[in-house]
Amino acid sequence: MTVTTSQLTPSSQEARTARLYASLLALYPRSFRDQFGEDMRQTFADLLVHRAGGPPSRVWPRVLFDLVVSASKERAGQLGPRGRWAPAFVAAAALVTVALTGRGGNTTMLLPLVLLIVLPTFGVVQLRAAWLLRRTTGVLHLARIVGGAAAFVPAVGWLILVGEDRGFWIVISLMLSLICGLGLGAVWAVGTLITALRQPAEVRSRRRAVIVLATAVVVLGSMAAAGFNSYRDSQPPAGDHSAEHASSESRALWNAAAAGDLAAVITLIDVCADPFVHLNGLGRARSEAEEEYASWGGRDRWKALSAEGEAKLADFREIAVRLRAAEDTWVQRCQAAPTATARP
Amino acid sequence: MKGHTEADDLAPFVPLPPAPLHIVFALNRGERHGYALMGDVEELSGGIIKMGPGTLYGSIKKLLAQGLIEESPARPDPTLDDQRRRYYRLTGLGQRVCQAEVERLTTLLERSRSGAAARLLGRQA
Repeated sequence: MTVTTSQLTPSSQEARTARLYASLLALYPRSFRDQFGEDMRQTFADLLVHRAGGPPSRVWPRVLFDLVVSASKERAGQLGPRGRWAPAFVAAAALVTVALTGRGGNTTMLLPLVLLIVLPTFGVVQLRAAWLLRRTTGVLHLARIVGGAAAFVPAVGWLILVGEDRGFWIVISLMLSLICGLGLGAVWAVGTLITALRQPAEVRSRRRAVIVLATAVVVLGSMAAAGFNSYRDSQPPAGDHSAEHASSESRALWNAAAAGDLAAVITLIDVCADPFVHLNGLGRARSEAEEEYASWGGRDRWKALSAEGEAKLADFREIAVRLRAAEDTWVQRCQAAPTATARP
Repeated sequence: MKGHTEADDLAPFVPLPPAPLHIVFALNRGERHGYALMGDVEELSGGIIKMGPGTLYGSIKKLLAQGLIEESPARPDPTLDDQRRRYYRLTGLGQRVCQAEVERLTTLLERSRSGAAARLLGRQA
């Protein structure tokens, strides 16, 4: 098959497509790109030239999945010669998981990143070994897709960051990372453990056994970390009496405010003696109302709120306004309060 | 002790995975560059295997490392094609592996057919 030079003169749309493909080649290991990058660009250009009509984007269905799978394979293959580090690497991830369990809310955000680094690469290799006899089944295919998706989630997240609502997309990106990372880890661990039961020879080596155990620790440990953090976050700090007051009062205030009974809120405030606790409780109740209001209002971007949603939005708006007014009143009362009742 | 046989030499390579197998068969027709290989593989497989550049060069990399194929020194005519284009061809070992694969698949097919025929005759009897 010969391709003449004139045929290879690309249109601007083709040139853009080719540039995009050239950028995506960064997903392959550097050594692979150095060896075959130019050839791959050339082959992609040939595909563009010889496509059967239509826009250049018609080549993507053929190329994109292939790119994700083959880049994952090359990355995994690159780790092959360094395979002896695999048990140490995964075991270190397991130790980090155990050490960080319950250390803070960020743990649950940090762990998926560790998992993303480790699992999509080792996961594909291990699953391939684990399901060797059934590799044509959908399980391995699914694992590859999930692995590829997990590897691409941060990239997609960063791409989205060029737009608006950065905070929102960061959270979505991290949550997807968490789901993909944990999901792949679970699939991998379960697949390997099943193989261990059915084909003991597959995981007889000490190296494999370490990887399987460490992975189970990482997956189970990160779940425990997430659960513990969630539990701890719902508890008021120990020894901080005013915070406990504020916390419980805030809930009571919010319940009353949500019911639209501001008089009950004010009565509750009046029962307590410390104006700063009242202020704290009011402030939290207001911020909760405003957050709730914002979350409903935020749905404007999708439009089409139901009539019930519109009514609830109006309620929250009114409650937030009334609470803000109550808070202003309390600020004035606090400023007028004698120094003796003020919190040190 | 049994002597060393040709089959023993080729044992590490046979059977080849589907993608490298089709590339080897395509190169058995002659030297090819990447895109031409993709086309030949698609044709050989009856359109079932449509490789992308990633799978193609991943397989080429493995076949080069195994010594089954090599880069050809031949370069296309600059008036017809890009001279940077690299062509690949089978090595001696690659040709032997290709022959072994043909024999393996032929045997498989024959046995499969004779088994199916025996089942069919059994049913008829």
